[in-house]
Amino acid sequence: MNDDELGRAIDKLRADYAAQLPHTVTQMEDLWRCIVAAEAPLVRQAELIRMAHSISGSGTTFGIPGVSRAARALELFLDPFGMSGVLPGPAEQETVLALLAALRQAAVSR
Amino acid sequence: MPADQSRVILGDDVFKLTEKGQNELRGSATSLAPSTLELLILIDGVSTVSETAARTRTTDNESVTNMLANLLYDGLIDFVQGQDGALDFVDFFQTKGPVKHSVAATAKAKKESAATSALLQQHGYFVRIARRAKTRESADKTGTLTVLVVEDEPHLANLLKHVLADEGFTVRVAKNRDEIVAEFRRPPRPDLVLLDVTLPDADGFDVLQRIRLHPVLKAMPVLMLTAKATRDAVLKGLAGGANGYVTKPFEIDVLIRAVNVVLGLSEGEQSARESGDPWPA
Repeated sequence: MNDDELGRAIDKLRADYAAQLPHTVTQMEDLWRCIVAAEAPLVRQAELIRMAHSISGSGTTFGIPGVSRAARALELFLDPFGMSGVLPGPAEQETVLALLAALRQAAVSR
Repeated sequence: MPADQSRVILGDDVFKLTEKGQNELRGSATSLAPSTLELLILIDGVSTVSETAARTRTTDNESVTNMLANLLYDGLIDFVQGQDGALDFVDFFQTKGPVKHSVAATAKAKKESAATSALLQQHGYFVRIARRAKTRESADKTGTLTVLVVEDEPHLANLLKHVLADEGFTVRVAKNRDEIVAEFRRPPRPDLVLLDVTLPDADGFDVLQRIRLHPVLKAMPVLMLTAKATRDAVLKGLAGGANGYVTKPFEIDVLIRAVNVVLGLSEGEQSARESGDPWPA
Protein backbone atom coordinates (compact mmCIF):
# COMPACT_ATOMS: atom_id res chain seq x y z
CA MET A 1 0.00 0.00 0.00
CA ASN A 2 1.52 3.33 -1.02
CA ASP A 3 1.14 6.58 0.91
CA ASP A 4 -1.84 7.73 -1.18
CA GLU A 5 -3.67 4.47 -0.67
CA LEU A 6 -2.96 4.53 3.05
CA GLY A 7 -4.10 8.15 3.20
CA ARG A 8 -7.33 7.27 1.44
CA ALA A 9 -7.91 4.28 3.71
CA ILE A 10 -7.38 6.43 6.79
CA ASP A 11 -9.66 9.15 5.40
CA LYS A 12 -12.37 6.56 4.86
CA LEU A 13 -11.95 5.20 8.38
CA ARG A 14 -12.19 8.73 9.74
CA ALA A 15 -15.34 9.37 7.72
CA ASP A 16 -16.89 6.08 8.85
CA TYR A 17 -16.01 6.83 12.45
CA ALA A 18 -17.49 10.32 12.27
CA ALA A 19 -20.63 9.04 10.54
CA GLN A 20 -21.40 6.47 13.25
CA LEU A 21 -20.79 8.83 16.16
CA PRO A 22 -24.30 10.37 16.32
CA HIS A 23 -25.76 6.88 16.30
CA THR A 24 -23.48 5.85 19.16
CA VAL A 25 -24.46 8.95 21.12
CA THR A 26 -28.13 8.08 20.55
CA GLN A 27 -27.45 4.62 21.99
CA MET A 28 -25.82 6.24 25.00
CA GLU A 29 -28.74 8.63 25.49
CA ASP A 30 -31.22 5.74 25.23
CA LEU A 31 -29.22 3.64 27.66
CA TRP A 32 -29.04 6.51 30.15
CA ARG A 33 -32.79 7.11 29.85
CA CYS A 34 -33.47 3.42 30.51
CA ILE A 35 -31.13 3.33 33.51
CA VAL A 36 -32.76 6.39 35.08
CA ALA A 37 -36.23 4.98 34.44
CA ALA A 38 -35.11 1.65 35.95
CA GLU A 39 -35.92 -0.05 32.65
CA ALA A 40 -32.30 -1.18 32.48
CA PRO A 41 -30.32 -2.54 35.42
CA LEU A 42 -28.01 -0.11 37.17
CA VAL A 43 -25.02 -2.28 36.33
CA ARG A 44 -25.41 -1.11 32.74
CA GLN A 45 -24.08 2.24 33.88
CA ALA A 46 -20.69 0.57 33.43
CA GLU A 47 -21.57 0.00 29.77
CA LEU A 48 -22.32 3.69 29.36
CA ILE A 49 -19.00 4.59 30.99
CA ARG A 50 -17.22 2.14 28.71
CA MET A 51 -18.83 3.73 25.63
CA ALA A 52 -17.74 7.17 26.81
CA HIS A 53 -14.26 5.81 27.51
CA SER A 54 -14.07 4.33 24.03
CA ILE A 55 -14.99 7.62 22.35
CA SER A 56 -12.67 9.53 24.66
CA GLY A 57 -9.80 7.32 23.58
CA SER A 58 -10.50 7.40 19.86
CA GLY A 59 -12.03 10.77 18.90
CA THR A 60 -8.81 12.74 18.67
CA THR A 61 -7.05 9.97 16.78
CA PHE A 62 -9.79 10.27 14.17
CA GLY A 63 -9.43 14.03 14.04
CA ILE A 64 -12.33 15.00 16.32
CA PRO A 65 -10.73 16.23 19.55
CA GLY A 66 -13.93 17.92 20.73
CA VAL A 67 -15.62 14.54 20.88
CA SER A 68 -12.76 13.09 22.92
CA ARG A 69 -12.98 15.97 25.38
CA ALA A 70 -16.76 15.75 25.73
CA ALA A 71 -16.70 11.98 26.16
CA ARG A 72 -13.87 12.25 28.67
CA ALA A 73 -15.89 14.74 30.73
CA LEU A 74 -18.83 12.35 30.79
CA GLU A 75 -16.63 9.40 31.67
CA LEU A 76 -14.94 11.26 34.53
CA PHE A 77 -18.27 12.44 35.90
CA LEU A 78 -19.90 9.01 35.81
CA ASP A 79 -16.89 6.99 36.92
CA PRO A 80 -17.34 7.47 40.71
CA PHE A 81 -21.01 6.46 40.43
CA GLY A 82 -20.08 3.45 38.35
CA MET A 83 -17.43 2.37 40.84
CA SER A 84 -19.73 2.72 43.81
CA GLY A 85 -22.67 1.21 41.94
CA VAL A 86 -25.10 4.00 42.71
CA LEU A 87 -27.36 6.03 40.49
CA PRO A 88 -26.53 9.74 40.37
CA GLY A 89 -29.04 11.91 42.21
CA PRO A 90 -31.50 14.22 40.41
CA ALA A 91 -29.08 17.14 40.22
CA GLU A 92 -26.28 14.93 38.94
CA GLN A 93 -28.65 13.39 36.42
CA GLU A 94 -29.15 16.86 34.99
CA THR A 95 -25.39 17.14 34.66
CA VAL A 96 -25.25 13.80 32.85
CA LEU A 97 -27.91 15.01 30.42
CA ALA A 98 -25.93 18.20 29.84
CA LEU A 99 -22.74 16.21 29.25
CA LEU A 100 -24.56 13.93 26.83
CA ALA A 101 -25.92 16.97 25.02
CA ALA A 102 -22.41 18.39 24.79
CA LEU A 103 -21.19 15.08 23.40
CA ARG A 104 -23.96 15.09 20.80
CA GLN A 105 -23.11 18.65 19.86
CA ALA A 106 -19.43 17.71 19.43
CA ALA A 107 -20.39 14.65 17.38
CA VAL A 108 -22.62 16.49 14.92
CA SER A 109 -20.69 19.76 14.62
CA ARG A 110 -17.29 18.23 13.90
CA MET B 1 4.18 -38.61 23.64
CA PRO B 2 1.43 -41.11 24.47
CA ALA B 3 -1.98 -39.71 25.24
CA ASP B 4 -2.74 -39.14 28.90
CA GLN B 5 -6.03 -40.99 29.07
CA SER B 6 -6.51 -40.22 32.74
CA ARG B 7 -6.64 -36.48 32.11
CA VAL B 8 -10.01 -34.78 32.34
CA ILE B 9 -11.12 -33.41 28.98
CA LEU B 10 -11.84 -29.71 29.20
CA GLY B 11 -13.69 -27.36 26.90
CA ASP B 12 -10.46 -25.55 26.07
CA ASP B 13 -8.52 -28.69 25.18
CA VAL B 14 -7.39 -29.11 21.60
CA PHE B 15 -7.05 -32.48 19.90
CA LYS B 16 -5.29 -33.67 16.80
CA LEU B 17 -5.59 -36.85 14.80
CA THR B 18 -2.95 -39.50 15.38
CA GLU B 19 -1.60 -41.49 12.45
CA LYS B 20 -4.07 -44.22 13.38
CA GLY B 21 -6.86 -41.65 13.31
CA GLN B 22 -5.79 -40.40 9.89
CA ASN B 23 -5.70 -43.96 8.58
CA GLU B 24 -9.17 -44.52 9.98
CA LEU B 25 -10.47 -41.58 7.96
CA ARG B 26 -8.62 -42.63 4.81
CA GLY B 27 -9.73 -46.23 5.04
CA SER B 28 -12.57 -47.54 2.93
CA ALA B 29 -14.37 -49.08 5.90
CA THR B 30 -14.85 -47.93 9.46
CA SER B 31 -16.45 -49.38 12.54
CA LEU B 32 -17.07 -45.97 14.04
CA ALA B 33 -20.60 -44.72 14.63
CA PRO B 34 -21.60 -41.90 12.25
CA SER B 35 -21.62 -39.29 15.05
CA THR B 36 -18.14 -40.36 16.20
CA LEU B 37 -16.90 -40.30 12.62
CA GLU B 38 -18.32 -36.83 12.19
CA LEU B 39 -16.45 -35.70 15.31
CA LEU B 40 -13.23 -37.26 14.05
CA ILE B 41 -13.57 -35.33 10.79
CA LEU B 42 -14.01 -32.08 12.70
CA ILE B 43 -10.84 -32.51 14.77
CA ASP B 44 -8.30 -30.19 13.22
CA GLY B 45 -5.61 -29.63 15.83
CA VAL B 46 -6.68 -26.01 16.28
CA SER B 47 -10.28 -25.92 17.49
CA THR B 48 -11.10 -26.43 21.14
CA VAL B 49 -13.47 -29.10 22.38
CA SER B 50 -16.15 -26.45 22.89
CA GLU B 51 -15.68 -25.08 19.37
CA THR B 52 -15.74 -28.57 17.88
CA ALA B 53 -18.80 -29.51 19.91
CA ALA B 54 -20.62 -26.44 18.63
CA ARG B 55 -20.06 -27.61 15.05
CA THR B 56 -21.32 -31.12 15.54
CA ARG B 57 -24.91 -32.15 15.27
CA THR B 58 -24.39 -33.76 18.67
CA THR B 59 -24.97 -30.62 20.66
CA ASP B 60 -24.70 -32.36 24.01
CA ASN B 61 -21.25 -31.49 25.40
CA GLU B 62 -21.22 -34.59 27.57
CA SER B 63 -21.77 -36.84 24.55
CA VAL B 64 -18.96 -35.10 22.68
CA THR B 65 -16.64 -35.48 25.68
CA ASN B 66 -17.49 -39.18 25.95
CA MET B 67 -16.83 -39.72 22.26
CA LEU B 68 -13.53 -37.87 22.55
CA ALA B 69 -12.57 -40.02 25.54
CA ASN B 70 -13.26 -43.14 23.48
CA LEU B 71 -11.30 -41.82 20.51
CA LEU B 72 -8.44 -40.97 22.86
CA TYR B 73 -8.59 -44.44 24.43
CA ASP B 74 -8.52 -46.04 20.97
CA GLY B 75 -5.47 -43.96 20.04
CA LEU B 76 -7.22 -42.15 17.17
CA ILE B 77 -6.66 -38.71 18.66
CA ASP B 78 -4.21 -37.08 21.05
CA PHE B 79 -4.03 -33.85 22.99
CA VAL B 80 -2.31 -30.99 21.25
CA GLN B 81 0.41 -30.00 23.69
CA GLY B 82 0.74 -26.67 21.94
CA GLN B 83 2.57 -25.10 19.06
CA ASP B 84 6.26 -24.53 19.51
CA GLY B 85 6.46 -27.28 22.03
CA ALA B 86 4.47 -26.32 25.04
CA LEU B 87 1.79 -23.75 24.41
CA ASP B 88 -1.09 -24.51 26.68
CA PHE B 89 -3.88 -22.00 27.11
CA VAL B 90 -6.37 -24.20 28.88
CA ASP B 91 -6.42 -21.99 31.94
CA PHE B 92 -5.29 -18.68 30.48
CA PHE B 93 -8.32 -16.86 31.80
CA GLN B 94 -9.02 -19.08 34.77
CA THR B 95 -8.50 -17.60 38.20
CA LYS B 96 -4.97 -17.97 39.49
CA GLY B 97 -5.43 -15.80 42.57
CA PRO B 98 -4.09 -12.31 43.12
CA VAL B 99 -0.69 -11.68 41.64
CA LYS B 100 1.84 -9.88 43.77
CA HIS B 101 4.49 -7.90 41.99
CA SER B 102 7.99 -8.01 43.36
CA VAL B 103 9.05 -5.18 45.66
CA ALA B 104 11.70 -4.16 43.16
CA ALA B 105 9.24 -4.12 40.25
CA THR B 106 6.74 -2.07 42.23
CA ALA B 107 9.37 0.39 43.45
CA LYS B 108 10.73 0.81 39.93
CA ALA B 109 7.23 1.25 38.54
CA LYS B 110 6.40 3.84 41.22
CA LYS B 111 9.48 5.83 40.30
CA GLU B 112 8.56 5.62 36.63
CA SER B 113 4.91 6.46 37.12
CA ALA B 114 5.79 9.52 39.20
CA ALA B 115 7.82 10.80 36.31
CA THR B 116 4.98 9.87 33.98
CA SER B 117 2.55 12.00 35.96
CA ALA B 118 4.79 14.98 35.32
CA LEU B 119 4.86 14.14 31.63
CA LEU B 120 1.07 13.70 31.60
CA GLN B 121 0.67 17.18 33.03
CA GLN B 122 3.16 18.49 30.53
CA HIS B 123 1.85 16.75 27.42
CA GLY B 124 -1.74 15.81 28.25
CA TYR B 125 -2.67 12.58 26.50
CA PHE B 126 0.38 12.39 24.36
CA VAL B 127 2.68 10.67 26.74
CA ARG B 128 4.36 7.38 26.06
CA ILE B 129 6.84 5.14 27.70
CA ALA B 130 8.69 2.80 25.45
CA ARG B 131 11.55 0.57 26.40
CA ARG B 132 13.36 -1.93 24.33
CA ALA B 133 12.05 -5.40 25.00
CA LYS B 134 14.43 -7.85 26.62
CA THR B 135 14.00 -10.35 23.88
CA ARG B 136 13.21 -10.00 20.26
CA GLU B 137 12.06 -12.96 18.29
CA SER B 138 10.40 -13.51 15.01
CA ALA B 139 8.15 -16.51 14.92
CA ASP B 140 7.36 -15.95 11.27
CA LYS B 141 9.79 -17.79 9.03
CA THR B 142 9.51 -15.02 6.42
CA GLY B 143 10.98 -12.56 8.91
CA THR B 144 7.80 -10.49 9.05
CA LEU B 145 7.00 -9.43 12.57
CA THR B 146 3.49 -10.08 13.81
CA VAL B 147 1.60 -7.59 15.96
CA LEU B 148 -1.49 -8.68 17.84
CA VAL B 149 -3.81 -5.71 18.35
CA VAL B 150 -6.17 -6.25 21.27
CA GLU B 151 -8.78 -3.58 20.71
CA ASP B 152 -12.57 -3.69 20.82
CA GLU B 153 -13.29 -0.34 19.12
CA PRO B 154 -13.69 -1.51 15.51
CA HIS B 155 -12.64 1.74 13.82
CA LEU B 156 -9.54 2.03 15.95
CA ALA B 157 -8.69 -1.63 15.36
CA ASN B 158 -9.04 -1.06 11.62
CA LEU B 159 -6.89 2.04 11.72
CA LEU B 160 -4.18 0.18 13.62
CA LYS B 161 -4.40 -2.65 11.16
CA HIS B 162 -3.83 -0.30 8.23
CA VAL B 163 -1.01 1.75 9.67
CA LEU B 164 0.88 -1.21 11.12
CA ALA B 165 0.48 -3.20 7.92
CA ASP B 166 1.83 -0.19 6.07
CA GLU B 167 4.89 -0.38 8.33
CA GLY B 168 5.42 -3.95 7.17
CA PHE B 169 3.94 -5.82 10.11
CA THR B 170 1.54 -8.71 9.90
CA VAL B 171 -1.41 -7.55 11.96
CA ARG B 172 -3.96 -9.66 13.78
CA VAL B 173 -6.82 -8.32 15.85
CA ALA B 174 -8.61 -9.66 18.93
CA LYS B 175 -11.48 -7.87 20.59
CA ASN B 176 -12.39 -10.14 23.50
CA ARG B 177 -11.17 -12.99 25.70
CA ASP B 178 -11.97 -15.78 23.30
CA GLU B 179 -10.24 -14.05 20.43
CA ILE B 180 -7.19 -13.29 22.56
CA VAL B 181 -6.81 -16.94 23.48
CA ALA B 182 -7.44 -18.00 19.88
CA GLU B 183 -4.74 -15.63 18.64
CA PHE B 184 -2.20 -16.85 21.19
CA ARG B 185 -2.95 -20.35 20.09
CA ARG B 186 -2.55 -19.56 16.42
CA PRO B 187 0.94 -19.66 14.93
CA PRO B 188 3.07 -17.69 14.49
CA ARG B 189 3.19 -16.38 18.01
CA PRO B 190 2.86 -12.56 18.02
CA ASP B 191 6.10 -10.59 18.33
CA LEU B 192 4.26 -7.77 20.05
CA VAL B 193 0.90 -7.30 21.73
CA LEU B 194 -0.74 -3.88 21.56
CA LEU B 195 -3.05 -4.15 24.52
CA ASP B 196 -6.09 -2.05 25.27
CA VAL B 197 -7.21 -2.03 28.90
CA THR B 198 -10.96 -1.63 28.74
CA LEU B 199 -12.40 -4.61 26.90
CA PRO B 200 -15.98 -5.87 26.99
CA ASP B 201 -15.19 -9.05 28.91
CA ALA B 202 -11.62 -8.62 30.06
CA ASP B 203 -9.29 -6.19 31.75
CA GLY B 204 -6.08 -5.48 29.85
CA PHE B 205 -4.04 -5.34 33.06
CA ASP B 206 -5.32 -8.78 33.93
CA VAL B 207 -4.40 -10.03 30.44
CA LEU B 208 -0.92 -8.54 30.92
CA GLN B 209 -0.48 -10.37 34.22
CA ARG B 210 -1.59 -13.62 32.67
CA ILE B 211 0.85 -13.17 29.80
CA ARG B 212 3.68 -12.57 32.29
CA LEU B 213 2.70 -15.69 34.23
CA HIS B 214 2.47 -17.89 31.15
CA PRO B 215 5.46 -20.16 30.67
CA VAL B 216 5.64 -19.55 26.93
CA LEU B 217 4.28 -16.03 26.56
CA LYS B 218 5.96 -14.38 29.54
CA ALA B 219 8.72 -12.68 27.54
CA MET B 220 6.38 -11.39 24.85
CA PRO B 221 6.66 -7.60 24.44
CA VAL B 222 3.46 -5.83 25.46
CA LEU B 223 2.67 -2.22 24.69
CA MET B 224 -0.30 -0.89 26.62
CA LEU B 225 -2.52 1.27 24.43
CA THR B 226 -5.14 2.84 26.60
CA ALA B 227 -7.04 5.92 27.63
CA LYS B 228 -6.32 4.96 31.24
CA ALA B 229 -3.78 7.69 31.79
CA THR B 230 -3.83 8.14 35.55
CA ARG B 231 -0.75 7.56 37.69
CA ASP B 232 -2.32 4.48 39.23
CA ALA B 233 -3.12 3.02 35.84
CA VAL B 234 0.38 3.64 34.54
CA LEU B 235 1.82 2.16 37.75
CA LYS B 236 -0.34 -0.91 37.31
CA GLY B 237 0.84 -1.37 33.74
CA LEU B 238 4.50 -0.88 34.55
CA ALA B 239 4.47 -3.04 37.68
CA GLY B 240 2.66 -5.68 35.65
CA GLY B 241 5.56 -5.78 33.22
CA ALA B 242 4.35 -3.73 30.26
CA ASN B 243 7.17 -2.87 27.89
CA GLY B 244 5.59 0.37 26.89
CA TYR B 245 2.65 2.64 27.52
CA VAL B 246 0.88 4.72 24.91
CA THR B 247 -2.08 6.74 26.00
CA LYS B 248 -5.15 7.25 23.86
CA PRO B 249 -6.02 9.18 21.90
CA PHE B 250 -2.68 8.71 20.23
CA GLU B 251 -0.90 10.18 17.27
CA ILE B 252 -0.11 7.56 14.67
CA ASP B 253 3.54 8.63 14.41
CA VAL B 254 4.00 8.36 18.17
CA LEU B 255 2.48 4.90 18.24
CA ILE B 256 4.62 3.64 15.36
CA ARG B 257 7.73 5.01 17.02
CA ALA B 258 6.84 3.28 20.29
CA VAL B 259 6.21 -0.02 18.47
CA ASN B 260 9.56 0.21 16.72
CA VAL B 261 11.40 1.05 19.92
CA VAL B 262 9.81 -1.80 21.87
CA LEU B 263 10.65 -4.21 19.09
CA GLY B 264 14.20 -2.91 18.90
CA LEU B 265 13.68 -1.76 15.31
CA SER B 266 14.70 1.84 15.93
CA GLU B 267 17.12 3.67 18.15
CA GLY B 268 15.43 3.73 21.53
CA GLU B 269 17.58 6.42 23.05
CA GLN B 270 17.15 8.75 20.13
CA SER B 271 13.39 8.23 20.05
CA ALA B 272 13.18 8.62 23.79
CA ARG B 273 15.03 11.89 23.71
CA GLU B 274 12.87 13.17 20.89
CA SER B 275 9.70 12.46 22.83
CA GLY B 276 10.96 13.43 26.25
CA ASP B 277 10.79 9.82 27.37
CA PRO B 278 12.76 9.55 30.61
CA TRP B 279 13.33 5.82 30.32
CA PRO B 280 15.58 5.16 27.36
CA ALA B 281 16.36 1.60 26.46
